[in-house]
Amino acid sequence: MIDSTMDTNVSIMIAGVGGQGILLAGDVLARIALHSDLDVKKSEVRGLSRRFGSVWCQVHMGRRIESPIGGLDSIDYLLGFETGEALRYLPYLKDGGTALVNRLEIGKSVDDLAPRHSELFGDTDCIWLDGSDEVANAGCSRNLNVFMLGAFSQLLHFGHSAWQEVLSELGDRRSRMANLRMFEMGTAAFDDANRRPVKPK
Amino acid sequence: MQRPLLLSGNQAVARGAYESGVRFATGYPGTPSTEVVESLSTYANVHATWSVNEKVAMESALGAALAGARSIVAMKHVGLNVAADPLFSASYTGIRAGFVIVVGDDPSANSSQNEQDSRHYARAAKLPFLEPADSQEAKDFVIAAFALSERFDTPVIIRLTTRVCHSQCRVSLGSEIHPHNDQGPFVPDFDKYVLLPRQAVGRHIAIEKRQEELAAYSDDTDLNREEFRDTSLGIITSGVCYSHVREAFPDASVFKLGQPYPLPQKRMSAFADKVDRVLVVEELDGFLESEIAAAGIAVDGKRWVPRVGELTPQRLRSSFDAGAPQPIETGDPSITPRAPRICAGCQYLGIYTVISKLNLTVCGDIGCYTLGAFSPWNGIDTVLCMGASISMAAGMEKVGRTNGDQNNVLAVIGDGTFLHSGVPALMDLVYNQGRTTVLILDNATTAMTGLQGHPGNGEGLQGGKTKQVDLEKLCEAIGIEWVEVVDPYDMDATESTLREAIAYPGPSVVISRAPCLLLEKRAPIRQAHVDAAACTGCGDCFSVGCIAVEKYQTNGSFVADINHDLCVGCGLCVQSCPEGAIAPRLLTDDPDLVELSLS
Repeated sequence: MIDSTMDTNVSIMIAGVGGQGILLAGDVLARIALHSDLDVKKSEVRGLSRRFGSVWCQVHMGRRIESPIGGLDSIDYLLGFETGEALRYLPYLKDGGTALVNRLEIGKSVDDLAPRHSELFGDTDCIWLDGSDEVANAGCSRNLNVFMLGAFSQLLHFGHSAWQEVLSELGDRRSRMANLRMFEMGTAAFDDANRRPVKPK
Repeated sequence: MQRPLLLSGNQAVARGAYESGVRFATGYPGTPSTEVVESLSTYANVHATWSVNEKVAMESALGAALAGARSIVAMKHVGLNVAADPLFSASYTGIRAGFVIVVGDDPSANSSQNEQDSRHYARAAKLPFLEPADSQEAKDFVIAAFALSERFDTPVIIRLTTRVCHSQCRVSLGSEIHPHNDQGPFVPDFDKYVLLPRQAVGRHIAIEKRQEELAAYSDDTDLNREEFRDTSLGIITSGVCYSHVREAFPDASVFKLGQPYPLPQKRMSAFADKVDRVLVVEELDGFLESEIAAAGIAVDGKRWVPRVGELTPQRLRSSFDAGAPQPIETGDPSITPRAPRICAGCQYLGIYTVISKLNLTVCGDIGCYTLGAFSPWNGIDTVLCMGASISMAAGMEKVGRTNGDQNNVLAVIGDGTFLHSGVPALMDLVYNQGRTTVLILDNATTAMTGLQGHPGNGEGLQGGKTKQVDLEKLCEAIGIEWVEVVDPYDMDATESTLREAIAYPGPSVVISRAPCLLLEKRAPIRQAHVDAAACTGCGDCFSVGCIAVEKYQTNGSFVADINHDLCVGCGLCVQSCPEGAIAPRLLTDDPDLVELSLS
């Protein structure tokens, strides 16, 4: 758990597929750091219309941040919105870092990774979430990013009201309602996943 | 006090220009620099435009500066090549009101055709450049650049890299009450602004003197800063590399160059004297290293600092520890790469499906349609630079065609790229009696960089419809006698028109016309559906390359399946199915969807 005083800097990498709301999730993280009077730098891949391509975004927050980008073996938290992309960027996660991974494989055809998930992620401290299923069942397929943030919020020490304030700055009234619901759902899913032994589906 | 804002480097440059009282801003869109002009277009009292290309942009902005208004022009690194001609001579004319040139380099070539280092232009054109390390500096340095420009009568380059352009950092804003810096209307000065040979030599003398003054200023300015810590290691660096150095070598002394060119030689020598060992850390070329070495200071740098690809604190440190450049950091290479894809239902899907049948050499160009080079179409054989498709195809065709052979070279170029620099190439094709076929993909926007306007769609940056170039008339006026417009969603008709154009014994132009789907953002009124019983799993529909057409596995074999979150109902997969197993259905509120016939 990261203390809100943030004596040490925290780096977060979000990885997924273009269109999953990765950059927006990064914006939320950057804003909550800004609202908490922390230094923050956010960095991302952009351009060449990254639709359905591999997309990542990094957010670095703390008392004072120098570089906006972390290289291999340097990231504290990896949020994988898609399992394959989480695996792709796993080398960026440092020893002792934590991964939150959404069980979803986009574009899988022959190779079904699911049975080998735990093997592929090796010794990584990995928290598995059924985010795509949960948001789809709730009729909010587009809000996976907020669901994942809700889950991740349990690992940071920003207050609930701080998250609400930032989330309420996004979108129109209707999407705000959905965002808040999916955020709560992600929070609950994290607690649930954390209680169960880590085991692939 | 106002809470700091999160701004990207590009937005911060725009803010700095606004606080400097800029009145004219222009450029040409290109990642990573696009948002500089876009952001400036939202400020009051700034006249912001997209120019047709970077050369035109540079010249317009210089014109505005000579006419007395602070001006800024922005482009990506390869755009500066297009604008190199006015760049070198603008150094000679100097300015009246401040003139700042923003260039975005792209280490790792995230969205570019090369990894060129634009700092060489500053030295070649004898211009000072400033290099901010983050968004706060991006804003502050633009303000400093305007002051520098006016003090030394020179254009000033702000050199950015993708990481600075697109990283968001905290920025404390300055005064919104921007000063009035207008220098009054243009005043003729024959020896300065009319670069005839005798005047040019006179100006060259003045420019060499300016170089000396700028070097002296560099020794004076607080844009350059020494930070002494442990003196066993001293690192000279600039731009975003400064932040990497601070993480990778937190205890080292650092000379941070805000104005790296001309170099602050005296201070640099003094810095080198105070530390045991001097390293130079810079991305791409050893520009600083060669400048510093030429000043007689012993340095170490590119022996181990990578020349290829972007740096991070970790890559910098591991290269230092290994004493040799370490490879670009990427994700796990064993995970199948996921390239960006052409949008579901885009006209290019149909175009490349047709092109891949024609067995031609295809010279491609720069835009979303460059993605046609990928599987399943493999539809492009060359990509060089903006506008090169037509000229390269013309050259290939000149030497490749033997007597009586049919032309077998096709140039493929988008509407925006055609207007940027394809038009002179088309003129050349006619003038030199080529017979290449040119396929212009007219989607009525600059799609890849984010739907900017251009003269072909007549959308002004700050709103308002302007004149629209008529592509057919333009081609005819140039002297193309065979011009046809096709509907790219009808693949059979497109194919027969293209075959006709290629057979035509003269230069020909086919215009594929359909607006970019992102312009309309309409919900689909129909979508494709697969009759699983009729699908034989032949895979022909995958040759269209649409991301909405997926494989559905059934016991060892598969059938096609349509992803209805993505399908826009373009009908291209319907045309590709030899079994008639895919049909479009109208989307209605009625749960029993209505079957439609294709015609």
